[in-house]
Amino acid sequence: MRNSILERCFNALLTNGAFLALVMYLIIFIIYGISQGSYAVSVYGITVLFNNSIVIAIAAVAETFIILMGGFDLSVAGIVVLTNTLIAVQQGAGVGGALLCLIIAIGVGGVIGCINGFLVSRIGLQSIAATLGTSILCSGIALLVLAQPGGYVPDEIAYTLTDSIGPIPVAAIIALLIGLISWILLRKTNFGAGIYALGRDRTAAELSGIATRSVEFRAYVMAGIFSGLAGFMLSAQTGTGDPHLSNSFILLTFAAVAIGGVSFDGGHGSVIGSIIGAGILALLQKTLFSVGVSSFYTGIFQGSIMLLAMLVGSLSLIISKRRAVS
Amino acid sequence: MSYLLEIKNLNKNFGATKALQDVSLEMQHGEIHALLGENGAGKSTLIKILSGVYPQESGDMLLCGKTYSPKSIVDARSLGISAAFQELSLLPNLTVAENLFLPNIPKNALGLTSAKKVEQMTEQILSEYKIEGIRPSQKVELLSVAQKQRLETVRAMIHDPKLLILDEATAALIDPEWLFEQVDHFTNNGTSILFITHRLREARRLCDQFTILRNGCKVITEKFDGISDGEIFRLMAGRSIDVRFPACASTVDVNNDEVTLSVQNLRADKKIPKDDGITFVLRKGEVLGIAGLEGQGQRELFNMLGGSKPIVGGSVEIEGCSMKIRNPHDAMKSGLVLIPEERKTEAIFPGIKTSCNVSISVLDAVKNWCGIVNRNREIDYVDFASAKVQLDNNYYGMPIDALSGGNQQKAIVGRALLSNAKCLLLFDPTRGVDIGTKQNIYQVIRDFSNAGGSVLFYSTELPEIVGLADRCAVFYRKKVVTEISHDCLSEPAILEAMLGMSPDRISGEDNA
Repeated sequence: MRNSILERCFNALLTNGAFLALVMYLIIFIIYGISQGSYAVSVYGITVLFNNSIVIAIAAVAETFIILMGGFDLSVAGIVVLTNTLIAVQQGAGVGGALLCLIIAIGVGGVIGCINGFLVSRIGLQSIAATLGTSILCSGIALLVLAQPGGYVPDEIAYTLTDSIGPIPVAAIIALLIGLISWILLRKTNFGAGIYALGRDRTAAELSGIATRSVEFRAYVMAGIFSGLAGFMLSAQTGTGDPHLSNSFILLTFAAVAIGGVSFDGGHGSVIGSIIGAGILALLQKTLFSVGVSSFYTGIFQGSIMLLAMLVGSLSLIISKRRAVS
Repeated sequence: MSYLLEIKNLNKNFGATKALQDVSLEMQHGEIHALLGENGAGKSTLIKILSGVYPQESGDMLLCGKTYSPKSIVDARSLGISAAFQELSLLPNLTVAENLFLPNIPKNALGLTSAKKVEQMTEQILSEYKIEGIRPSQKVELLSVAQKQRLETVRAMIHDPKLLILDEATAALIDPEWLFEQVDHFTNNGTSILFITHRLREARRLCDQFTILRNGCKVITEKFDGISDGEIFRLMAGRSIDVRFPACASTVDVNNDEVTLSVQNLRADKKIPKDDGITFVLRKGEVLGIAGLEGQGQRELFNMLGGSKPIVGGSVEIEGCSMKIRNPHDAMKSGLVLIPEERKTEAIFPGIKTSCNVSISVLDAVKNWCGIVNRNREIDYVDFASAKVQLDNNYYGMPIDALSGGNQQKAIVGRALLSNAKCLLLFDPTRGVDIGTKQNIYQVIRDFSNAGGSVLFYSTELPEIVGLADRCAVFYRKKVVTEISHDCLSEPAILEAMLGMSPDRISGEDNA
């Protein structure tokens, strides 16, 4: 290999979705930095940036598990809102209360994930329909739990998790942890290899001896748990409960996954890309605000970035195919 | 006497289809046993039961005298049976190393899979099995079909099975000697092999005994010595198939001037000079055989004429009129109908009834003024086509992917016959289909040409071209280098031209 570094970077840009997303992030951040000055790189400024992206980032991680497998999980939104309302009405306080909230988040996510996994892998329902059902169900239960916005989230969550330790935002540490755990699960275990295999070719995966139903079930459980954690972090951000989650939440989650270069056909992409994708969505919003573009235009820019990322992604497919031919 | 494997009265049904009925089979230790049969005879079902993919329905299986009923592929492997599957069960988006060890990739001390360790182990295994040119860290999608097939085979071998199942393991290998060497090595260590193939020559070379399945039933288990190929084919088909090719076109004057298809300097690539493309004519009522080694431009020709590959330059004339072919729709309107190479991905609509798969080409003709399809008229058309290709009407209501490969191909040919084609483009139409269906397809081709149609017919099997074609155009380096007339048509003549030896017969261009 005599390729120069520049050439290699260019190749990675085209073939590695996560790298492309990272470069886009840096470009937008430079614009943001120019318009914001020193605030952009201050500890507070960066903490706010991470706090704004962390919920979608974790939700996108959850979604990545399912999309890599060639499925869709719409229940992410339902789990987030149900977790949020349950945390808001729980009565514990202090560190104990915070731990209880974490258990609620993981428990709710795990249970809904099990239901999804059962419906899809055992009964054989289509993932997009089954998870739409459980999502609506969760939103409905959330309304019973908490009829209108309100409730209380322990300070240990609402303050500590949105703060910074020295110069490092807590949200950044959480993002790193979530990224590391999910990366290990996907890249360093047989379960992860099974997810990639299933997403690419179900029959071949079966003939390779992969217990496809079990892999599918476990993936939905993991997605559920990560969705619960997203709900936990949402509670930390808002400090309150709200049974009405923005309708665009689930769509932004998908957008983050797409920007991160994960193929919606399954079998290709990485969880790191999805996290950076979520970061881009939040950063873009702040950048537009700081350069004085009306928030009416946010959607236009977010949509364009997503299309751009996917266009480059599809371009890379064409190029790599041409190379394979020649 | 103790057998390695004993199968007694095995049964398996898929819905109403009896895939296996009372099949019994014994295999000795160290024996290489050939499993023969047409497509749909039940070979795949049998090996999938043996390898733990499907559960058996009734009957007994004994491995080394103990009851054998695997719950999964992994279970079957640990009990001593592993299989290399015909449909290649590799995952293209994973690395060679990962594929080799699926579903249990070895872990390091932390309990995590380690790419480095696995790739080292793979390196060792690949060299042990004498496989060159594959890097363990490579994604499988970058491998050639032959390399994939070797990898699939090795993947079954590394579990040190007592019984190794090889399903069409040589289909994509240009050099099957590699496999034979491995097989010899294995049997010396006492492993038995169940060898499934369509190539009798290879089966004879490797195996002592064979078993023939037909329609899910065992026909015979016999030694290869003292039984002729013809007899084996007869047992596989269940009928006499002595007449392999229908009578050639003596009824049609192939030197007539009615040209159906004229191709002038057709080019698929910008790099080819303007006057160096593919050139030939196809007359009315003629079957033009196309021969050539892999990758000499014949595939591009069929795809260009069928509209699935853009034409870069050159002209196509049909009955004297110049035609622009930009997509398959254009091609069909011009009367060119392609039967593509990949049946599974390019021809059938899986999950849809067989009758609808056939009638899709005539939907325009059977709809009424407001666009609604008249089902009775549709079935009339399907009946018409089925009669020609001898497709059993019991299959009409089944999803086409539930049919055997041969029957699927009959449906596809039937569809092409309904489409009012002037010229059929058949790209290796008999590949992977059983001998009975082959016979049908030969007859259909001949009937079509006798009725005034023209056929462009590519085959990888030279005897088919010799037996069926009126003339043969041989491809070498992306163009027709030699045309061989009917009188000179022979396997050696075609082979010589295919290898690019200086053509001394007819109309060859200088190519040395």
